[in-house]
Amino acid sequence: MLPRTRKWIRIGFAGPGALIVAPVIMAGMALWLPRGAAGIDNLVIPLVLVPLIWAALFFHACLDSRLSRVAIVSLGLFAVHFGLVAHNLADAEPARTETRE
Amino acid sequence: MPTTATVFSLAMLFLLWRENPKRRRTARLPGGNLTLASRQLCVMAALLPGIILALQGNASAFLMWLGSCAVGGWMIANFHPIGSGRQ
Amino acid sequence: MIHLPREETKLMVAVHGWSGIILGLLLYAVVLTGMVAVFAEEIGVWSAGHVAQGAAFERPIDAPLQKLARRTPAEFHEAVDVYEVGDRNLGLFFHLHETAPNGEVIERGINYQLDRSGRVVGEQRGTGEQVFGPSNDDALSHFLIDTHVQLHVPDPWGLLLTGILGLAMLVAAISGLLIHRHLFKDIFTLRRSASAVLVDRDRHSVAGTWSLPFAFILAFTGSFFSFYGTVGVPIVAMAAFGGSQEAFNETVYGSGEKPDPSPRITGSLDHIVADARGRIGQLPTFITIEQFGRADARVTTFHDPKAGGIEPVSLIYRGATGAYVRESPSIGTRPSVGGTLTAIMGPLHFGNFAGLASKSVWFGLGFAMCYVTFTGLRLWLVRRRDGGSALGWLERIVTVIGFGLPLALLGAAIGFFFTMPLGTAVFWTPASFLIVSAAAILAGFTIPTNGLLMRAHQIAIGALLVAMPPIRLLTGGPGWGAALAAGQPMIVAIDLMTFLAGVWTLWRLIAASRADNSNVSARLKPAE
Repeated sequence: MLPRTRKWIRIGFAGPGALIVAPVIMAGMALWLPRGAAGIDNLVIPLVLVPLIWAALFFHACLDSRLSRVAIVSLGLFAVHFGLVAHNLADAEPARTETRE
Repeated sequence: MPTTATVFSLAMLFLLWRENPKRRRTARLPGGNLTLASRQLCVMAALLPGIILALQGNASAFLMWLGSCAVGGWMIANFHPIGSGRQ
Repeated sequence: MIHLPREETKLMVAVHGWSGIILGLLLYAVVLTGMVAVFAEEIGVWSAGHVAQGAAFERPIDAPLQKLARRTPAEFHEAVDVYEVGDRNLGLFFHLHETAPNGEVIERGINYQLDRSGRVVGEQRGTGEQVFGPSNDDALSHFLIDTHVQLHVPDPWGLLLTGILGLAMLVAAISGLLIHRHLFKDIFTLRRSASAVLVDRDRHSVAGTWSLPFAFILAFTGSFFSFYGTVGVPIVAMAAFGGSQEAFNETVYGSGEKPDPSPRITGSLDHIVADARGRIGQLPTFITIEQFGRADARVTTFHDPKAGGIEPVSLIYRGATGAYVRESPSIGTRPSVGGTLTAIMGPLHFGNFAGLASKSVWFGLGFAMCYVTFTGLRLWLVRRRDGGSALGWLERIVTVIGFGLPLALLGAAIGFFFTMPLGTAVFWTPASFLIVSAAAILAGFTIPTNGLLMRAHQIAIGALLVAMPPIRLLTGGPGWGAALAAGQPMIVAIDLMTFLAGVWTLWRLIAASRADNSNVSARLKPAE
């Protein structure tokens, strides 16, 4: 791969990539984090951590010498959390449909 | 308590400022009186009050100490005694 | 301190520099106004000349509350906020919660303001945003806070903008840490006689190193606040509750108790305030009543943190009986990691957990961060000027914004003082800011050199600071005797601080001017 292409891929992951993946991770975390003593940890902890999650994705994309690892981490986290949210929303839909019926 | 802690830490920082090798070199001052080991001891002494406050769980005092040392340390770094020589 | 490989260091230098220069001027505006907004409450007291004695919560509040409840439609009894406003007046906001078209949960109702004798001196209907907008006597403090929170850009774009600036500051702080190889060795090195690049570099890195932990904390908490309502809650609500922000709010902020809508007169608020004061040792700063007039009514009193703590204290009472239930965490029905983390974001950002002492420290930190941002911009320019790039126009922009912004804020304060007695401060405070900004921009176009431009701005800043206390007094503000007699030493303190800051600014300029003149004389002597 040309160095210029690698550079733009890296910029893509650090820039728009991190901006998209961080909120998706935040959404997915609400579904797997434990609820905690007050039943709210899974809702508020992702909100508190999202700037740090974004920063971690940004700096990882900038500093990891292996671009393949940057892609795997970023896309992997996106896929897992997006999948969790999509699955949760899909589960909620049949329940609403059944209620209407 | 945070006031005492802050004053003590700032005193250590002032000592470290006075003895800082790079500052003295750029100011064309002679070498300081403290060895590296002594300066490291001063660093630990400067941090000790904050560690104690943190271990006591006194979040308010710890943050006040940390913030005051940050501002105070910066002001100390800007200290420019009259007739201290070119820097 | 952290030794990255060469290529990564170069990348971090580029990230640090470009994030700083592209967003640095806006970031400077946010940080400067944030620094001043730390004292927004005190500036409000000073600027409006509040000298009433006796806190609102020291007076009976139950009788006026019940009287106003009888004349307020029952739909707005869903919640009542009780607070102190203006010159020790009592504010009562009867409201309901509803979902706006964009899914956001908003408050709508009737807001009353009562003076010290219990007379209704203000009544406004509307949403929370409408009724808590600026009023004549808090126009200045409101203006400062609005500028900091969203740069006066309409919702949600202003909050998104300041959130992005917070992320930029986070990037700058972390990349700055990564590129500085000798962080601790250089921590006291401030060369004064070296090249412009080295002098600016030292100023920037020394200030940046000392303020680094707080730059991180303030950037991170600031982003949290900006993104919380705009994108955070909607996204988490979508994932966890199919988009219902109402369900999110009920889970996070709700009491978790079984509803009981049967009517019951809400118990005496005066008794609750007295009990809360006895338990905590201080009056509440804010009270909320949920489900007013129902058997399941709940009263929560909010107080400043206890000694040693930073999280505000809240006590819960049964509304129907006035009986104490328990001390509650600020967020959630029980102490939890998430609740505590969320609750400390405010104190960490505002620095208000230990009153004036912590606010003063946060002000100092804010000043350091303004200095870091400004010197960083200058360093970026000086480096390129030395490299031969013609960036005079950008240098002027940095000067106009760097010095023009504090000048314009002082102009807003002066405009406030002249127009508050006339009842037109809500318009003229921001208008004065814009007028002085325009003058600063005009100076940027007309003054021949950047050095003169800087000096002109600094003279204007010094002059306005010195003139501030006399203007406040001449426009009807309370004198020092009246302020001290009313237990408001803050008015005297701010007068003194602005005056002394002005004197110091002007004295430094005179000293620098004399030093320049003696250097010129020394160079001329051999020729003579």
